[in-house]
Amino acid sequence: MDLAQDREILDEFLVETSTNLSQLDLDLVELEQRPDDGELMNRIFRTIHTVKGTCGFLGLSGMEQISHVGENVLNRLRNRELRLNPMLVSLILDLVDALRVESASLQTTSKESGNGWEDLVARLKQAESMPATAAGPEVAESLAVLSTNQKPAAPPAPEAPDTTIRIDVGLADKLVNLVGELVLVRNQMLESGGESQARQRLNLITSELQESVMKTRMQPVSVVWNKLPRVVRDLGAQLGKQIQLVQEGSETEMDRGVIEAIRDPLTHIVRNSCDHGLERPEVRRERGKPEAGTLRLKAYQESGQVVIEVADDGAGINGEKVRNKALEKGLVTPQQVAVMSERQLQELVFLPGFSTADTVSSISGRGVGMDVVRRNIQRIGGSIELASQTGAGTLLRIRIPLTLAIIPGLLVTAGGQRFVIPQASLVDLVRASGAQVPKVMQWVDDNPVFRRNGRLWPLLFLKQVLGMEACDAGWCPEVLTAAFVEAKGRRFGLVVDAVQSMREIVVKPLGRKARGLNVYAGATILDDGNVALILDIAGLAQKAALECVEAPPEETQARGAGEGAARRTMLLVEAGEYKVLSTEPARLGGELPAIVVSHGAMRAALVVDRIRDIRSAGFSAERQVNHPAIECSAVFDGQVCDVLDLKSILEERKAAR
Amino acid sequence: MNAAAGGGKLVTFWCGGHLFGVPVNHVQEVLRDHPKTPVPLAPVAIGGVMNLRGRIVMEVRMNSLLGSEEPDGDASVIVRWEDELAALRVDRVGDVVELNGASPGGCRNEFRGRARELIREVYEWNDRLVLLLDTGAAVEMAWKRSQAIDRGD
Repeated sequence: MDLAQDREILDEFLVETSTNLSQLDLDLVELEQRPDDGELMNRIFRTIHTVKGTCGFLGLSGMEQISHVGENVLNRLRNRELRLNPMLVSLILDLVDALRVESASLQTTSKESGNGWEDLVARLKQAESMPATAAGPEVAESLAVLSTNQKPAAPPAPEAPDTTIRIDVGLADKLVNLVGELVLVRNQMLESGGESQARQRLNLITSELQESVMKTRMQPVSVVWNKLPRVVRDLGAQLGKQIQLVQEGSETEMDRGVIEAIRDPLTHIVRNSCDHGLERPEVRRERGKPEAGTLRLKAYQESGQVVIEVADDGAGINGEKVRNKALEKGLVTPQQVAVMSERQLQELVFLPGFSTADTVSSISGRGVGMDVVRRNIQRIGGSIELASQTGAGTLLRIRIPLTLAIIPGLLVTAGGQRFVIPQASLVDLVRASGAQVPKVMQWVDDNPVFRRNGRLWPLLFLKQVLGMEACDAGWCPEVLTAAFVEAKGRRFGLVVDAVQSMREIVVKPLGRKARGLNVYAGATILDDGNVALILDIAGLAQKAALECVEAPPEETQARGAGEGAARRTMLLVEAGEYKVLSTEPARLGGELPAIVVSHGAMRAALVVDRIRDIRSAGFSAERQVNHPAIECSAVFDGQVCDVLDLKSILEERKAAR
Repeated sequence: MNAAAGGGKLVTFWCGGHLFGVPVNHVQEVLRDHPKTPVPLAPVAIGGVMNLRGRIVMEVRMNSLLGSEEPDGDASVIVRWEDELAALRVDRVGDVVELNGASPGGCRNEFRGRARELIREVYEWNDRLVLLLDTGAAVEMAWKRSQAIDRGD
């Protein structure tokens, strides 16, 4: 059979084989934990058998040959003639790798590599001819095994029909695009007024269609995680460490674009934890820990984001060691580190060119990775935080958007044009008017600054940076509206004409040439069909050659630590799609979460969708949204939340009565 | 870009006093007065971005490229260029010209100034010269040339 001619058959074979090989990786690692699981053993045997059969059918003699020898070894294992040991598992994993190399060769050249794999075959044959394990004490066991072995021979239980189909990613992307268009047309139609049943139905169907189509691009995080048991096992074997990998929430779904983007950073973090984090068994014993270290992966969705945690119970990050290393490499000055907390010291590992590994290992390299990891995660609008306790372990928490195609963004206007600020870079919104403006905004030479919490923050006039309008030094607007943004660790205020609303936007590429301008991250189509440009915050800062104040580290962040800013405790709730309180009478009945509030003699219950958290924050109580019920905005967990003015809501209700 | 590829047919349009042509199979559609959004900081020859059924298309102002001070016309010719689309803002759209009857009408070197860099070939048709536009060169020039001018002032 000429495989180059029958590319279709070959492609099908490659997809199937790749799935089978991934499954083998997982199964083999699992088998090592549960060597007596007869069903698992049989599954491994059958998978290899299938691979062998298909290779034979396609005339791939090399692959057939090595899987055949492997099958023989597995057969003896299955029959309990051989005892499973780590050496044998490694051997079979090597076989899986060899099959993978051959698949890759088929993929690119439509031919087998021509490598005879003599060494591998010899090792497999040697394993096959090893003397049978002493059968004496295991007779009873092998009887039991015999009965389990009969299971696969029995007619297989009727398999559930396969309910999945494979579709081309390009097609899925096109569908997403078209649905996006349909949504716009729907919005335009709804805006044009009129009420009819058909209109209503179109509205509902479109929303449902959009939701379903977006789901076609979703994949479980296990797509990436499946590779990790093998990675961790191999690393453990190589480093002489015992590592137990625990995965929670592997069914958590996210957009395939995001999945692709986190693949490398995640693998890097896991490698780092195995290499630098977890200690060797003897060290762990000395420290009174179980010999086997635990690496815990956890994924879950939280407020429109996916959170992935990688936690180890290893040595943790030693702040002192990190400090010395950073000083040695000249990454920080002694003055800088003198005032740093333990946590800030630990965060230094994110600096470019940093490494704490005493010996440079082949596994996680020179440790230059963490800044790259952070950069890659930030590139897709995510963030990474680190919490480590010396001696007890390290936790890395990655937050990433559910999808890259749709991101939340703040619609603002400047110079009569609308722009979008991605929420990922948004920190805070401030607004001042009238006599307040000169108090908070000042000019230092030619540079406008914003005074806040005892610090001066650089301001950037969006319309000036974009060359739409000049702003002379000393100029002072009637109303100052600024979005505080952060990019590449720098924070500044972006002055806009007005803030419109927070919305979900579909990100579209702006074309190769426009990327060169370096101030736009893309474009999006608004409800009215017009295009709005998405700002590239880092690019803007660079354009303005901004001498930015470095973003303050978490703990001392302007959250009320400064002068006079009132620090208040707030209840974080979700209500309605836009998180704006509905004034409609609440539908009562059933269990509804409600918060009871009182003001003076009035008591009222506010019905909400979900009560999320209690937070404390300091912020200026300046009203910035033209809604009487909203006092101001604050940012929690990277999301802009409206702070309700309960007093005015209650008084309004009272007046209405 | 080979004019013969479109069965020898060109979509023609006027701008800066010249009659330009683009092979018919490179033209996706012709739009009139399509709403667009300006792109601040882009070179002057970039008219803005428009929404073409969900695709973002960058507009090239042909008049500006040709150094003409005339106000832009209201027609946009959407052409496929590499794997992207570009909108050429022109004065007005002319006929579709069958090149079989046309003869090579001279050499592009006879043209002076900016027009020369935009022309691939020159044809004679009905006593007129039709200039076969090099779309790629037009887009490149729109981004490059005008940025240099921007820096100048």
